[in-house]
Amino acid sequence: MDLFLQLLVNGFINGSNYALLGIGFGLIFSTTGIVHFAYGSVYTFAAYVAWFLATSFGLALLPSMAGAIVAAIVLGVACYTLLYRPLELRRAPPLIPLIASLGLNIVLENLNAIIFGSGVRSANFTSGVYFAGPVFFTSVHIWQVVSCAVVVAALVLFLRKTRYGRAILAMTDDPNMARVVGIDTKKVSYIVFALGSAISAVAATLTLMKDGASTHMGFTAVFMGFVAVIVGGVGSLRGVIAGGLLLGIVESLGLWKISTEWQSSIAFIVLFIMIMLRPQGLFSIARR
Amino acid sequence: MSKPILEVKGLVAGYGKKRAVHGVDLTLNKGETLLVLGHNGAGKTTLMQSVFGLNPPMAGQVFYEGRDVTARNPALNVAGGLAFVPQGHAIFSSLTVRDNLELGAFVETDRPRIQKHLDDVFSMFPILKEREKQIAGTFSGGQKQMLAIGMALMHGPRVLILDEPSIGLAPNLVDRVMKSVEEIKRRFDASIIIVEQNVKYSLPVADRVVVLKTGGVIYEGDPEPLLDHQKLIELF
Amino acid sequence: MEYIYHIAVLFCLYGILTVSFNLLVGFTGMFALSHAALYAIGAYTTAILATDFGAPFPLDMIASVLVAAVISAVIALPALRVTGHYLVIVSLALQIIVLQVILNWKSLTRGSDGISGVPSYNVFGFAITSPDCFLIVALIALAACYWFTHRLVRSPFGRGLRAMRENESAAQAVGLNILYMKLSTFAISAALAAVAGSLFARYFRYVGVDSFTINETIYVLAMVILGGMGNLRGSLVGAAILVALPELLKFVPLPVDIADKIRLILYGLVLMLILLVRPQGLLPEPRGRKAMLVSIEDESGPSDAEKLLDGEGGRKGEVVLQGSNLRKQFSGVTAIKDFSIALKRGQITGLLGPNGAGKTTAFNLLTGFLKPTDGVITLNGRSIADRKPHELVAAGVARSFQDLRLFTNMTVIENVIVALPGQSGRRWPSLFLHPARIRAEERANAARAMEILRFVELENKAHETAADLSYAEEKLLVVARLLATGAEVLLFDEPMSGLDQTTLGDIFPVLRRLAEHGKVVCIIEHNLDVIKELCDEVYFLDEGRTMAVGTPDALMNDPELAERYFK
Repeated sequence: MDLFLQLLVNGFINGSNYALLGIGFGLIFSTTGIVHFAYGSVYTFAAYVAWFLATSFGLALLPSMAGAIVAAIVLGVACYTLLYRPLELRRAPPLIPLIASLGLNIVLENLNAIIFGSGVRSANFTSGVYFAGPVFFTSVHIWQVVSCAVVVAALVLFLRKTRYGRAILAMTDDPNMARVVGIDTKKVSYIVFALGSAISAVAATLTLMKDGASTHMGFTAVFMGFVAVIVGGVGSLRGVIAGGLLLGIVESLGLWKISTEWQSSIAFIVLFIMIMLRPQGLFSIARR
Repeated sequence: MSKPILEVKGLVAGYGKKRAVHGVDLTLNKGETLLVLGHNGAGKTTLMQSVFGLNPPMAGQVFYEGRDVTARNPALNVAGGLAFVPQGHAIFSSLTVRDNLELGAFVETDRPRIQKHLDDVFSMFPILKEREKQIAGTFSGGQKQMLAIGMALMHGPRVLILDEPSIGLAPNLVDRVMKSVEEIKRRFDASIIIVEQNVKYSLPVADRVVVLKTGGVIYEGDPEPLLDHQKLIELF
Repeated sequence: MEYIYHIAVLFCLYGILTVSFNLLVGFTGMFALSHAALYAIGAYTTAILATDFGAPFPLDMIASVLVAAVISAVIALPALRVTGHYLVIVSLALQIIVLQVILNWKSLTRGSDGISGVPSYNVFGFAITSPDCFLIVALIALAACYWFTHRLVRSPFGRGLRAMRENESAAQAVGLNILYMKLSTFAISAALAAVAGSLFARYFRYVGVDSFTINETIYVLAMVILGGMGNLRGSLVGAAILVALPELLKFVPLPVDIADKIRLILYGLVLMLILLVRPQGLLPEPRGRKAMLVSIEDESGPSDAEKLLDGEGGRKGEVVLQGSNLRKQFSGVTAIKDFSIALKRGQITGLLGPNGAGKTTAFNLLTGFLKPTDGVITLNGRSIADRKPHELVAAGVARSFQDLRLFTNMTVIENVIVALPGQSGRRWPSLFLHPARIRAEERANAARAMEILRFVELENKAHETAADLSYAEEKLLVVARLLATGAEVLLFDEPMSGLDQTTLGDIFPVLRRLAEHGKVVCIIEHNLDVIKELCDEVYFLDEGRTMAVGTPDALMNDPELAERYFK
């Protein structure tokens, strides 16, 4: 029973990180329709920048995270400006940005590896261990859950209360109608690339704190984000959060019955089953 | 003779290499309701999307208030006082009625003016006020159409283009929607283009009629002669 | 020298991979990015059989091919339910799952250690261990795979694949069996990848999961896209360039791990740049006359419509296709409430009604694209309730689409040939069993297609790409393609909309002649001139019901219907 509780809590904590990734990735996907696969590399880059700031300048967690956010925004917006935007202007068929982003991902992933070296890089942010009854967790865990909550709250406020927040909702719902009411869809695309990348940097810094940064961390991350989006339903914030948490919990509880070497496959199998059975997700938004 | 507010000259439009509109001239005078009739495939929608800037024309020009606005970004057109209500349920179906209306006023930053327009829209379509918090996708067809028109009015347009507002609506609702046109003119001081294949309810509200067929204008003038079905069968 | 041979062997392996991958992504348009996993399955099967069971060539390769083909077909069944982005992501997930299985099934695959000591090929006691000897084997394999794929894509089967890529529902509407084509392509593409895998195991004498990661799939994808999707020679060019390019890095003094990463960066850059600058690739898909499988002489002469349309037996006026009391309900909405129609030989029947009356839904029911909730549809008196669209085309019922759905990236004549009935080359095994027959059929079909184009007066545009036609020409091509199916019942969804008066004048006689020659013609139309000019009988539909049936004049003089139509 204690093990079950512990796994549940672990799953919830990991799930909040997946939810974060899903929110950032899903924001870009649902608004622009671009499957930004290189999101994974932006995330990795952010983790390395945070590591660099923390180890070379001795910055604390929050300032390092702030630096990572700035770096991620610059790289994410550059991805859109240099690759996706030109493809949009050429009216490339919808699959082309995805294929191009696979190429972009390889380029960025290996650039990351050349710049920061391969192998795990970890930063020693201060960390404590806590117990709640039989369940154990660390301050990283608390950070993860809290940041997820903070990001969600901030994003909800932004989407509901600001002009461009509502423009994002509008474009997610129907890009053509967004143009009809006079929304500059190009500007909105830049905004979501910036926001999505910023969110990836939050998740990246926390993963750095927990497991360290490594070259291939981005690939799993973007897949987890995608799975969270698919499970939750494209365009639904609530759905993505539920999807991320569910994924984390399923993965963690899977450990109970399934041997560890299969753990990394669980997400892909979940993805496979979801797309087969319910491609619209569990919480798909109301469409016509 | 009143002044033209929107003029279309020799407009050619289509998609890719395909032309659906072959050189159309249109004039909308200030304060007028112009009815553009035509059956499916006559090129009505392509024409209007082209005028509005959603699909830049291949040739020809569009003048709005005397300025050349050919192929202008729709965002600028909306800011300049044009509004377009596309065919079908042109609303954001995952958002609430209130959010939809607020988005209709996206280009307007002056809060008091938005409030005034909102009040006007609410008094024209009280159902929208009653259902302010409802998700728009759950509306019936008629309610969606009212919302779509309401959205287009939220930034106080001087020219309103309605693309087949009657499509898929029961006759009494069509009547209701068409009657709102008079009120829009009065409250918003807007000039209106209605694109339709529905003749019965749209003719009475029109000041002038243009009939399009296979991408060209085949009739232009008063609505009265068209009240005769025989005349229509000839034209259609 | 040894080094050059080694590079050449690599080129052969990648050549096989690109050619087989191009079949899937280029010709068929299915971006299933799990090619490296199938490559791995081929390599592992050979490695296990040769190492643990001493299986000799060619048993090992045959086993690899079969295992990969079967696994791919099994994978394809669920994967076929999704398209576009979802297919890409699902297949990437599958790629990872397959590698995980290989990694974790230690008893069979030795997990992360990989299988080493795979025996090399042995010909009459002579072991092929050096790259130069192996190169001969690899070249033969590449040539065989290239030849096989070339046969496949330059055939009625391959033309069907491209048609399916352009528009799936239109491909069904010309009688192609989508499921058969997709499954075949998945299996064949995998089988060829397995040939490369089998060679890999015998050449390197070691297999490990690191050689078959997602990066490998993307690497091969970059080669295919660089060379040109839908062009086999391009694939070889793409493979050659991307195999050779990184080798140049060897001349730059760099630490090994950096050089390796720069190699990957190069692939990624090439992939992005080609998509930005030249998305059709270095060697684009053949167009114009080059797209033809046989050359045809342009004998010009008057169209022989009698010859084209003869063979329609039966009595004028007899009912051929009949729908009785049809009802169609979509989740909650009843699109068709009660619709009955009888289409008669030698007649043009019109379907008239305001927007949203259910006309297109009625067409979908009559042609098998939708199944009725209630009601009976009979063809020559026999029920056709459970037939799929492509089966109905073969039985003699074909339709066009309101939004045309031409195969836009194919030439005009290809659009017509692909629709011709009775092509034995649509089944790929016959391409290899009866090549002569297929060739003869192809000649006859090309001539027949030209005849049909002459009938609609498009013969001068035969070798132009359909996307370059004017709107009116597109409409004529729609008629030609429908005619090519050889069906006796032809249903046209708004064949005239958007045409100007003069073009209408061109299409009228075509439709009339079809009816005169005993075809059963039904058109959906809004233009009342067209109805009056063309139709013998008109069904007036509104709110999902047949409101009236009669001659065009009778219907148009009915004030109630006029009221409804002009609402």
